[in-house]
Amino acid sequence: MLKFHSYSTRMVNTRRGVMECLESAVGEDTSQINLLIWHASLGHDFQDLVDAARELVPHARIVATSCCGVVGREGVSESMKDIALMAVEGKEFAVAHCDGLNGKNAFAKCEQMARSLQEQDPNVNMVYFLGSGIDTANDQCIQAFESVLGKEVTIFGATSSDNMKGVVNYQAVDDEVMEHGAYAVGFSDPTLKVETQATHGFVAVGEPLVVTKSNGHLIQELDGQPAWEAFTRRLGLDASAECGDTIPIGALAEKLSEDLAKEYGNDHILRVVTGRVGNEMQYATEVAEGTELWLTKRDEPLIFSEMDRIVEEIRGRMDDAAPVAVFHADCLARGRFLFDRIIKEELVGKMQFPFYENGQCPPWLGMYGFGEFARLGGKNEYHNYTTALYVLYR
Amino acid sequence: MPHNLSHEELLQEYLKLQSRVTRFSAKEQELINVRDLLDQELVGYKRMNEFHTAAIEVHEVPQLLELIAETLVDLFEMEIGFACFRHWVEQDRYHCHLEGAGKFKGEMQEALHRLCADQEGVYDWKDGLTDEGMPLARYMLGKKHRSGSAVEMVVVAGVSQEKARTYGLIDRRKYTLFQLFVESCSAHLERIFARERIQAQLETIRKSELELRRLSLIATNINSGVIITDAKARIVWVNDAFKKTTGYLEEEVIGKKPKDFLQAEGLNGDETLHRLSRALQQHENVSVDLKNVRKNGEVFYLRLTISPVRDQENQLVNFIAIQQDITDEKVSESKMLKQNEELIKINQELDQFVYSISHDLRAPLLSIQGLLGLINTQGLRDENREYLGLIGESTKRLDQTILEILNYSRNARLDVQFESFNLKTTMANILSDLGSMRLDVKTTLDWSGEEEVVQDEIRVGVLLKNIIANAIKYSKPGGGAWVEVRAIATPQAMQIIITDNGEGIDTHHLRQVFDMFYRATTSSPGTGLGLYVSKEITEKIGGTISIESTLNIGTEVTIILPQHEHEQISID
Repeated sequence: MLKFHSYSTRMVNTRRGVMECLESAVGEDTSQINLLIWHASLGHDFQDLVDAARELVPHARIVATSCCGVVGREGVSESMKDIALMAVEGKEFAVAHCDGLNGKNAFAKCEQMARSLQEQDPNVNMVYFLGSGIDTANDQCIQAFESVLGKEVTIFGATSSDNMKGVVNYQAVDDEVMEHGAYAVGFSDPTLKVETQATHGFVAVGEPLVVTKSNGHLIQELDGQPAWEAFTRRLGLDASAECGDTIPIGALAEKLSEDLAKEYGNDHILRVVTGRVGNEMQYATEVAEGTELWLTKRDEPLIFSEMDRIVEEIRGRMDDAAPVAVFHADCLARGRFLFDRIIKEELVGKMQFPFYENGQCPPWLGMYGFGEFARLGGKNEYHNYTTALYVLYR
Repeated sequence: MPHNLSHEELLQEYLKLQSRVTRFSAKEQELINVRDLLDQELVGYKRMNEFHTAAIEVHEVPQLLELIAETLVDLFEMEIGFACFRHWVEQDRYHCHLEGAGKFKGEMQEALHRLCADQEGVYDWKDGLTDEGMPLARYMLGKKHRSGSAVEMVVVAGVSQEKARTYGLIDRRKYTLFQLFVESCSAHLERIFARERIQAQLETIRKSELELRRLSLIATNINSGVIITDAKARIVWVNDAFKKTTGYLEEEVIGKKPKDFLQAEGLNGDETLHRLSRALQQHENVSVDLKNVRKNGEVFYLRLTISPVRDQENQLVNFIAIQQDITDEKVSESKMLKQNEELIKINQELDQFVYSISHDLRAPLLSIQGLLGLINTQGLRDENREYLGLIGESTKRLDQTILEILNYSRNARLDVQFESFNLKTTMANILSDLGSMRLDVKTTLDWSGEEEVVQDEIRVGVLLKNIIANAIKYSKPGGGAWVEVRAIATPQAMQIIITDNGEGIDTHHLRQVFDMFYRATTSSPGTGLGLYVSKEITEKIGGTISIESTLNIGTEVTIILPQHEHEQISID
C-alpha cells in the first residue's frame, strides 16, 4: 500500500534543498522510501539534484522535472530556486522514461514507455506522466498510453517547463538528465483511486483564426497567412516577439462539443503555443486544417467560481473518502504573470482547503508547467492554461 | 460611427474593433508584467530583510560570505552569486564563496577573481561581456572599498553564457536594491570585525582579571608580608602575613605610611634609611634589611623589597612592598659570627703556640747538632761512633719535622704577599742547594718565558723545595737517576713540571698523597707532611697541584700558579 510524503521550499543551494525536503517530508529514516518525485525550477542544476538525492536515498528510484514554480502544502513559490518533493513508500509502482521526445515521435516514444510500464507491472491502473513541454504532441502521448494500457487508465500529470521562456526544460530519471525526455510513473496500488479535473476560466473573444495549413503539431498558416505573423499581429505584438511573449496572452481556444462544454464549464478548451520555428508555430497537440482557434480573455470571477466548482465535484465523486496525496499541475501563465501573490495564494487556498483532513493538508505536489493532463468526458485529455487537480484517495 | 456603412465597411470596422480588443490584452499584460516587477521588487526587499535577520546571527566571515552569495542568487534571480573579502594588512585573511556555478565552479571562480581585480569603483554593473572568454553573460558587480579601512569586499551576481537564454535581462529597478544590498553586506562585515575586536579586548580583560586573581591569591597567601601603598606611600592594602608579622590590624594601618608606625628612632643606620628614602623619592626598586618594631614593641628584622607600579602613561600609581621576616636568620647569623670570631682566635692562638713550640724546640736541637759536630770521634769505640751517628740522623729528622711544622704554621698564619722576583734564579738556587742530597741524581732545569714573576716568593720557594726534594729523595738508587724541572711562565700564569724516574707511587696511593701525615712509601724516612703542606700552600696562593705516577717508572708533579698584581692580599 503506497504512502506519500511531501515538502516544498525555496533554497539556493541545491544539495541543501534536497536535504531539507527529505528531512521535512520523511524525517531521518528514509529506508522505507522507494520513489522520489522532484519538481524544481530552472535555477537548480538537475544533475546536482539527482546526485544529492541518490546519495541520501541510494535505494530509491528518482524522477525529476523542471517547472516555473512549485505548489506544496507550504504554499506557492515562483522563483528560480524552488524545489518540491513527493516521496513514496511502497512498491506498487513502475517507472519508464524516454529521451528525444518531440512532436513527431511522441506516439512511438510514449507507446514504448507504456509497454515498459506494463511489463514491469501489469496492474498499473493510473499513470503520472511528465513530458517535455516544448515541441511535443501531447494528444499523441495520450493515445499511445491508451493504446497499450487501455482508455480506462487515468493519465494525469503535466509537461515540463522553464521560466516561461520556452527555451529549455529538463527531465531526470535516476542518474540521467534529459532536455527532451519524459517519464511515466505507473501506480498499481489496488486500494488507490484517482480523480482528476481541470478548469481555466478564460473566454473566447472575437472572430477565430482558422488553421489553413498544418503539419501534425505545427501550424504553418492561419487565415492563409504565415502563422506566426498572423498570430502576433492579432495579439498586438511585433512579429519579432518570442514564444515567451505570447504565452501569457496567447491562449488559443478550440470549441468543445456541448456535452463536454457542460462538464468543462466552458465552451472552449485552450491550447498553448510552445515554440516558434521560423514562421511556424509549435502547437501542443496535432491540429487539423480548418480548425478554428479563438483568442481569449481571462475572466477572473470565472476563474474563482470554476475552481470552487471543480473542487466540489471532485470531493463529491470521492464519496467522503480521504485523500492520500494530491498531484497538481497549473499552467505557468496562471502564475505570477496572471495573478498577484495575494490572489494566487487565495486561489491555491481555495483548491487545497476542501481536501484538508483533521486540519491537515494532504501531501501535495504541484507545479507550474506548460500543460496539464486530466480526464474530460470520461477520457484522458490534454489541457493548457488550466489548474488541474489529481486527487489520489482510498 | 455612420449608420449607412456597407457590409464590407462594417466588416473592416469589426476587424479593427477585434484587433483593439486583443491589443488591449497585450497592454493589460504589460501592466501585469510591470505589476509583477513591482511585486518582485517588494519580494526583494522582504528577502533582504530576511537576509538581515539571518546575517545578524552570523559571526564568522566565511559563513557571512556564503549567506551573501546565496542571497544574491535568490534576491536577484541570478544564476551565480559571488562574494569575496580581502584584508589588505592581514594578507592571509582572504575568503570567497561562489554559489550556483555547478560544474563551472573552477572556471567561474577564476574569471570572477580576474573581474574583481580588474574592475575598480563602487557599484559598477554591466550588461554583456567585457572580457573575452569571461563565462558570465551579464552581471552586477558591487565593490566596497572603504577609505581608512584595510578591508575590501566585492559581490557579484551574474548569469553565465550557458544559462543566459533562460534568465531575463537585468532590470534596472534592481540596481537600487543591489546597491542597498552591497551596503548592508559591508555593514555586516564591519560588524563582524568590530565583534572580533571587542572579543579580543574582552579576552585580554578576562586574562588580566585571571592574572589579577592569581596575583591576588599569591599576595594574600604568601608567607611574606605584602603592602600596597598609593603613590604617596600611604597604605591601601596589606595581606594576612603582614598583619601576623606586625600585629597590626588592617584598619589600623590603612592610610598610614609604614615608617610612621614600624620605625623607631636609632634602630637603623642612616645610610640604610637614606637609601630607602632616595629610592622612594626617585621611584626606583630598592631592597634593604631593616629593624622594625611590632605592635607589642618587640623589635624584628625584615628584608624589605619595594617596587614602584606605573600605569600605561608611565605615571606612578602604587608601591608594592614585600617584607620578609628575617629575625631568625639574623639571630643565627649573629651566633655564627660570634662562633667564627672565637674559632679564629683559637686558631691564631694554636698557630702561635705551634710556632713558638717549634721555634723553641729547634734552638736546642740545632745546639745538639752543633755539639755533635764538635765531638772528636777518633778516640771512640766503633759502637760509640755509631751511636753518635744515629743521634745525628735522629736530630736531622726531628729538625726536618719541626721545619715542616713551621712551614705549615707560617703558611696558615702569615698573610700572602705577592711581589716580583726572579723565579728562574729561585729555582736554580733550590736545585743547587738540594744537589748535595744525592750526588748521583742528575738535575736539569728547562726554562721558557718570563723569568720575573709576581707571586708569594717565600711560599713558592717552600713549595718547589718540597716537591724537588721529594723527587731527589725517591730517585732510583744505583745510577741513572734524574730529576727534570720544566717551567713555562707567561704574564698571566706559570706552569712548573717536576719529573723524575724514581720509584714512583702505586696508583691506589695517589688519591691520598696530599693528605696530612699520609706516606706512600717507607723506603725513606719522612713525616707525611711535605705534600700536605705543598697543597695547602698552592691553594693559598691561588694555584693548583696535581700528580701522576707509575710505580718503578717515575713521577710527574704539575704546578700551575697565577701571576698576581703587586699588592698584599690578606686571605684569612
